[in-house]
Amino acid sequence: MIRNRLRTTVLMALAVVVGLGLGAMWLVHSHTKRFERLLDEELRAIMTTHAITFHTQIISSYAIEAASNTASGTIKARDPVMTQACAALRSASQELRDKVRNPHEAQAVAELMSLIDSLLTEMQHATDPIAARPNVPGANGSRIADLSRGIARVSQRVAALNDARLIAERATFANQTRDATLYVALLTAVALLILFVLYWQFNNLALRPLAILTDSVREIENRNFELSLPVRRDDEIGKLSIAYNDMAAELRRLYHETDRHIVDLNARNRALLTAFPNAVIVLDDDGNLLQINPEAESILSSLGTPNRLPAKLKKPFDHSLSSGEEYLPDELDQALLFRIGEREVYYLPRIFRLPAVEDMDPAWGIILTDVSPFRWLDDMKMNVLATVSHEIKTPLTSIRMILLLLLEQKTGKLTGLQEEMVGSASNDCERLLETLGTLLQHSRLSSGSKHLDLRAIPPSSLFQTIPLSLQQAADDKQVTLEVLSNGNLPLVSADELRIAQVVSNLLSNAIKFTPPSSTVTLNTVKLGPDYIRFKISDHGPGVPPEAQDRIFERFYREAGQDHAGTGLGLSISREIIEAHNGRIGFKSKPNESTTFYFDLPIA
Amino acid sequence: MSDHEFQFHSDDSAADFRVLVVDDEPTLRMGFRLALLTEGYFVDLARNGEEAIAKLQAEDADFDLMVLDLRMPGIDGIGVLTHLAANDLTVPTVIASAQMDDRVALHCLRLGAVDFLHKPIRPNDLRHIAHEVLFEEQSYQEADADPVHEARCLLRRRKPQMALTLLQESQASLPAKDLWQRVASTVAADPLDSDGDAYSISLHDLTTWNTSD
Repeated sequence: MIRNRLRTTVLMALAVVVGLGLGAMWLVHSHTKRFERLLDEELRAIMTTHAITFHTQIISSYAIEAASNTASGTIKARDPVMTQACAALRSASQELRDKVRNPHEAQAVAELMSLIDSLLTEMQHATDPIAARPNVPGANGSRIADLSRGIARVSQRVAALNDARLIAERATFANQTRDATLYVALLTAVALLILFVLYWQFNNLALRPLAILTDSVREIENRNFELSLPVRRDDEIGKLSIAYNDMAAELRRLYHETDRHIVDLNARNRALLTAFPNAVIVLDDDGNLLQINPEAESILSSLGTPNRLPAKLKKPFDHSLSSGEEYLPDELDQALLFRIGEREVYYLPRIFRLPAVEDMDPAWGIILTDVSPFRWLDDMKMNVLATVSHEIKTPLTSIRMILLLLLEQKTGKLTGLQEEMVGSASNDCERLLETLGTLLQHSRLSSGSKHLDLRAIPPSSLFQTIPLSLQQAADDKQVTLEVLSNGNLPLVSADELRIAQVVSNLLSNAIKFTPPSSTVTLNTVKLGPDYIRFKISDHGPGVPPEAQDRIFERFYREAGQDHAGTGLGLSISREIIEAHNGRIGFKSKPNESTTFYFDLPIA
Repeated sequence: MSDHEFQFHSDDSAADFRVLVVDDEPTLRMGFRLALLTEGYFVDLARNGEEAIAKLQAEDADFDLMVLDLRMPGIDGIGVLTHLAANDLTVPTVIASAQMDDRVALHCLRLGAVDFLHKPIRPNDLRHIAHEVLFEEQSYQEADADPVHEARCLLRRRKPQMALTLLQESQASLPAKDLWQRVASTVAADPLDSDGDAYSISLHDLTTWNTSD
């Protein structure tokens, strides 16, 4: 366990530090102790020598006084000072003798001792009146002086010896101090060594595995999941290594799974693109081809531009590039014509943005849809319509001509019945022609509704000329056509012919549905800032609710309606108005009035 | 059916006018012929462009009016007009067609046609236009007609510049003056410039002019 090892290491380091400190303290302490004892001994020896000299002098000074004072003839034996000095001398010499350490000193001390003994004996004699030898008092005094001098000399020697010893001791002590310093240094070095070993061990134990783990995690960051850590131990690092290996294995599994998934997906996309019947081209922002499906490849190569866009396609693409806008046309006439070999093919291009995703820059996609069949069908439809209508219209024109001539009766008189029969046929003929005309108009409109001949025209002019046939129909029903003129309106942008068709359609309906002898009103008003509203109101039954949502549908005819019509009029009108960016609608009040209106933009 | 079954005698000088009807539709041809015969005109028929050209180039050809279909097998209406223009023949021509657009109308105008009938045609439409063309011609020769009629006569005679000048100088305010002025200037302009839109002539204007009266 790292925790335990860490604790052990720290404790060991602590022990080393404490040991080092204690060792150093003990060294200093013992050293100081020795120094103190040495100093103490020498000091005492010196002091003793001094005391011996001092007391000897006192004694000798008494003896000298006694010798000079022969009259009295004696030394005051019981003089306390004298007695004390003798005692002190005796104890000092005693002490000196106890401290003797070498033979030189012992010899000197022994000499001193004998001298002191002699002195003390002499002093005993001198102070003892019984043992006094009055005849030789003088000899007595000189002897004491000799002894004193001897003592001073010998004690001087002892002191000198002591001094010499002190000097010798000091040198030894200096040596010892040097050794102690050396010891402390050695101890420190050993402690450092131990600490270093401890650190190294700890490093091996905990830090290095962590560093290895960190490196491994970095590797995972770089998507290298193959690395696994050796598990050699049963400690925290070992457990961490196991957990790490598990995690790496799981990541490896996930990564490979995702990898495979992406590969599969990619393969599927590729297959889809390959099977896609439309040409798909992916380009980068500089217009370089990035990806292309086989269909697009075959188109581009058969156009002779295998590695780039053909000029016709490059134009809208460049426009999209510079404007950043997608180009998504859906009208057949926006298809581009390409000549592939002998064939003419129409492609409807769709240019769209592919947004940037992780690791991938934004790009552009182009899908080319082959609309040739539709174009062909469209052309066919137009051709068929034109052909059929011509084929029908031509004989119909002739039939009508003949019927009308018959009805004129200039070529011969008809019976009443014959006239009725021919008249009915003529009416049918008229209706057929009308239907045909509307159909043709419709097909022309649905193919060319974008080609409006827009001009700025005064709104009033659109209601000015009412077609003769409608005026006739109104007259027949005794319907009054009332045109309310509003002279000061701004010009509208309109294709006069086409709007005339709308007016004609709406007016024809109004006349059809308004009751006899009523009024149909045509009015023009300004609607907001952008539009002029054209209104045609009748007093008919109104648009039934169930029909309201559907009347602008193609071929829609109201149920039960007995009025003639193809059901195309309103649908065509709506197409025309919408092509003008206008609006068409109605407002109906049942059995009161109905107003159809269209709004045209102000020019 | 032959001419002698129907003998119509008009009161005026209609019998003096010779009309050529060119159409590939037999029934329509018959209808046209009857509609004009009942007015007393002399009517000759042609079934196609080739026949029409042959009749127009014949020695005794002296037609005052031709009613010409555009879509015919072989030489079509445009072909007939082109041939006439190339041979410097001038017959006042009314185009009667169902298939016509602004561009074709402009082309016909440049080739000398100035009247248009849009099929389907009623007998009275035909009679009306024939009367107008034939008797306007007369009134033009008698002078003192209105400037639009005069101009149209000049156009029929392939004198568009004169017609244009006449209309431009005229002070009268007539409903169709503007339209025919545009027609005249279009025809007078460079024939290579085939852009009809520049002159704002539409077939609608031309055909409604003739039939709305």
